[in-house]
Amino acid sequence: MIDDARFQTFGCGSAIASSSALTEIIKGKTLDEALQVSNQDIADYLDGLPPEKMHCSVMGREALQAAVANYRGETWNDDHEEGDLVCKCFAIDAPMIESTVRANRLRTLEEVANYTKAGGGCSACHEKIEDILIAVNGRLYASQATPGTARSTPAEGSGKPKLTNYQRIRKIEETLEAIRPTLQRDHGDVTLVGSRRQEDLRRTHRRLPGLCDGGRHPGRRPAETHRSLGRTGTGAAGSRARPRVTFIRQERP
Amino acid sequence: MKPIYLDNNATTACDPAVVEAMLPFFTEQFGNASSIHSFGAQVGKAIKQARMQVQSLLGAAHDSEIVFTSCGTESDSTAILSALKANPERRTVITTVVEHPAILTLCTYLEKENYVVHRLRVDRRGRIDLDEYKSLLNERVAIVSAMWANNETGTLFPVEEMAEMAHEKGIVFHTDAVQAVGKVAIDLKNSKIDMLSLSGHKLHAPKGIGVLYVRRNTRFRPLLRGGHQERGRRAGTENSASIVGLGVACELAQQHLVDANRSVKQLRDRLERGILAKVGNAFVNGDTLYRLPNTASIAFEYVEGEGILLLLNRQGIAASSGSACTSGSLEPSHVMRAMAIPYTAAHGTIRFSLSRYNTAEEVDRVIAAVPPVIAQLRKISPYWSGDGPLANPAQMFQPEYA
Ligand code: FES
Repeated sequence: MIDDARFQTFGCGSAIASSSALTEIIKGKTLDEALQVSNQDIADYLDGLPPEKMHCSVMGREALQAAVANYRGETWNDDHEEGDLVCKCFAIDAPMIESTVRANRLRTLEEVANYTKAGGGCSACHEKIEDILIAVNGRLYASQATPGTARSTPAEGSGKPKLTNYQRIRKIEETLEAIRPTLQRDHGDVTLVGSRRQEDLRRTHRRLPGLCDGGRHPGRRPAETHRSLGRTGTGAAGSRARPRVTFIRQERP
Repeated sequence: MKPIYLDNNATTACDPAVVEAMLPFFTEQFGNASSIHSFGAQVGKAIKQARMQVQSLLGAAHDSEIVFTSCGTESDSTAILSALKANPERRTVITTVVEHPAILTLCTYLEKENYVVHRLRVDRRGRIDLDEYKSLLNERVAIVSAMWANNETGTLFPVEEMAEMAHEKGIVFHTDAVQAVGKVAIDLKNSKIDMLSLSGHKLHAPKGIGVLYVRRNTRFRPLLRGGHQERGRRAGTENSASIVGLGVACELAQQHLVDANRSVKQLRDRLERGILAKVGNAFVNGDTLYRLPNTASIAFEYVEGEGILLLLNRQGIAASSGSACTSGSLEPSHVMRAMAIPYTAAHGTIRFSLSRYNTAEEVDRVIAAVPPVIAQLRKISPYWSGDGPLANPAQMFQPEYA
């Protein structure tokens, strides 16, 4: 059982806040319970951290892991590497993109977005991602999506491929997974309640647990949530084949 | 308590006289300066007057050498890209490691386009080596760009001398004088400076207005094409209200140049002395003999700047820090790194930048506020114990288990 916890840091304001939050959270927990504390828990305790400061909460969790290892006489390896934040939409940093590009021999922006999500949102980070691709590959390969090389999609009806129900649900789930981290940073989440074909309803229902519980986020009203989801969510959906979130019903707890 | 603003190198408050002069240009004087009717003519006249006010502050020979832009960054980009386009056989740029990102980021980009960039290094006090500079000047260099005053430390570069040296080799000389204009006397007609950037919001004019001074007969290629405004050197409808505001701000700056700078310097020195007398393990960065009168860059060792800023902000004191922590590694500013300030001091560097609106009472309140803030943060610093730094770094991060 942890009776008391204190910290030292030579870090920025968010690092101080993350360390302080961590020491508050773990008081009264056993070591094993304390190890379950995630960096997201720390960020939540602080009512969220901006993407470029999320690493401060990661460092907080690592400090705890190191302390527990030290107490138990184990060695703890810091295998964590962070670098410049490249993609703000999805909080992806340069080393992460670089190693994924190397490991999977990625060549195009599209591939990077598919593997890491980086660049799949507002697209403002594309120049930086291209720089990484050039650094790794020695050149830039033309994107599949450039006009003229666009992949042909089987034409059918409106030109969109017809999906089976199963494929459709899979796509929705994929899309939700893509936007989930962003929602979680805002203390939200999303679960699929069910879906109907656009032709039937033009609406897809989702449930967003935990959002807008008034007390903790005064001022964040459902309308704002919709907007922020619309921005990050549909952007994250990226590929046109994927369904878009067009409607969200929100249940107040 | 009234907040204390000591972040004037970041931006300044608009002078009330500036705002007053601008207001009519949003309402009755809304005309386009290019129009033939009377709505436009008045605006054209006002812009002409503003141009002369800027000319006068800069000591430029002709008012046609003043080109209004949208900001300092635009002026910087215009200057460098113009020199490269106008002298295509010259593909080298000389600048310094401590420039503003407006210059450095552009230079990094130019390197990708196969231009050669030399960045002059600085010593511990932020000074460049003129011999090294001289050795780099040759007929392959298109432009030298060196800041007049450094935004973080206030250190001044000998730009007039540097301009003469460049001139002897037929090289265009540009200076980013965004921090210097209004704080140091400038007399361009008696210098060899070919281009100079200034930014309105650093001298009590609004944001969104800048100037590029282009000496007559300097080969020039515009960045924005599409209109005859600014004699075709910067297309785009004039930001008339802001231009008028900038003109007034320049006139005020000129009136205050001598006396305000004397009193601002006194306040700055009082602040530095007051803080250093009460806080140990702290020192002033930059070239203390040759710097802006309003800037104090103080390194507080073993603490991190953002914590200091947040605690000062709670007491209504606004300053800024020399490091930005936006990635996994704490990175001190490129200026601190260039001066080889140890990272335990670079991270704790705070920039206090004053203006003619600050008072002695404010300075005294800051002198009283800073020491407890530093003491509070040193308590949680792993480099500090009791009332001094840890002598032996191996002692650091020694957890106690009760
Ligand atoms: S910042 Fe990368 S997609 Fe928006």
